[in-house]
Amino acid sequence: MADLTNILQSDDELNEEQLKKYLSGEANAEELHAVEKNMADDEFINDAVEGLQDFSSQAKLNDYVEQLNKKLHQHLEQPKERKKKREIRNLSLIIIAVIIILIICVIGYWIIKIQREKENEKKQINVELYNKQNSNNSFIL
Amino acid sequence: MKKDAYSNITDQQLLDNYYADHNSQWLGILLQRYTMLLLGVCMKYLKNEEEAKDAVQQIFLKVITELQKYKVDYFKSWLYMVARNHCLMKLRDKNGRLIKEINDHMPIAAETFDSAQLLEKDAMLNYVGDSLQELTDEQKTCVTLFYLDKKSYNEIVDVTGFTLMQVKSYIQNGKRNLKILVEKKMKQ
Repeated sequence: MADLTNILQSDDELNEEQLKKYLSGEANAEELHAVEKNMADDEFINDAVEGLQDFSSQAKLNDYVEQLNKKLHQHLEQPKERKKKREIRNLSLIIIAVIIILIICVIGYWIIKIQREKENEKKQINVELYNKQNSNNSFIL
Repeated sequence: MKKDAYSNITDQQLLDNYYADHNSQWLGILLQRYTMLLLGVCMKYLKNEEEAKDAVQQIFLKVITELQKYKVDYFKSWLYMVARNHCLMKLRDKNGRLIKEINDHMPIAAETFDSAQLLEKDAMLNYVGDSLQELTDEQKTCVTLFYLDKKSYNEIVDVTGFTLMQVKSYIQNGKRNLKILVEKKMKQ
């Protein structure tokens, strides 16, 4: 009568290999019972096995599982890459901004310098002119 | 579904790891365990291989966003609920009919915990034996053939002449009633 407790006991988790064997009809009596016990205990497994039995071929099923897993991992990796790209873009923007500001500073400094030189030259010319006029005047006098 | 190098880590541990370091690698390992089961569930409801595949992908996206937002305690039952609701919603969109959502699947994990505790008691065995006699004949036959004689569904169909659907429901209902009867007896 020891077996009686089996009714209320939950079995270990099914693994994918067990399930595939069951679906392809290769499972022996013990394996068959293990899967069906899981089905009786768990509606999730029951629905899943019933659905999986409707697939046209085992190869197609395996192919779909593989595709889904691949896409799942791609999706989970994406955000990381996107973040990295964003970081790089942010960094290059900062560098470009710094360079532009530096160029503006240099150009500004250069323009101011040129203007000052011009003003200085004008002043000198004025002074020279004034000096000349003065000397002329004194000459006339 | 356990076949990877992390097979010794439980679902709950993987989830805890994810909540601890927010590394989505853990979610990948966890969800991959359920790809095939989800595909089966979606196939059962949608009855179309391509649609089932698309639905699993959408369920993955949904699960990933939900898990980022809040903490889930009973992952497997929660995942089943999300998958079923997603499929039912798809069917509702397709058929324009109203199908009730299911929200009654949360306590499954708590139930198994209860029965595990119950099992520790010696009196259990007698209670199960007695309760088994109180089930309807159909349930008793199917439960005995299935759990004690370890017959497969198909063998029970052959022996009893019931349909596969009937056998499944006799076993499931029989087990549930048995559990209720045993718990009642233990409380007395």
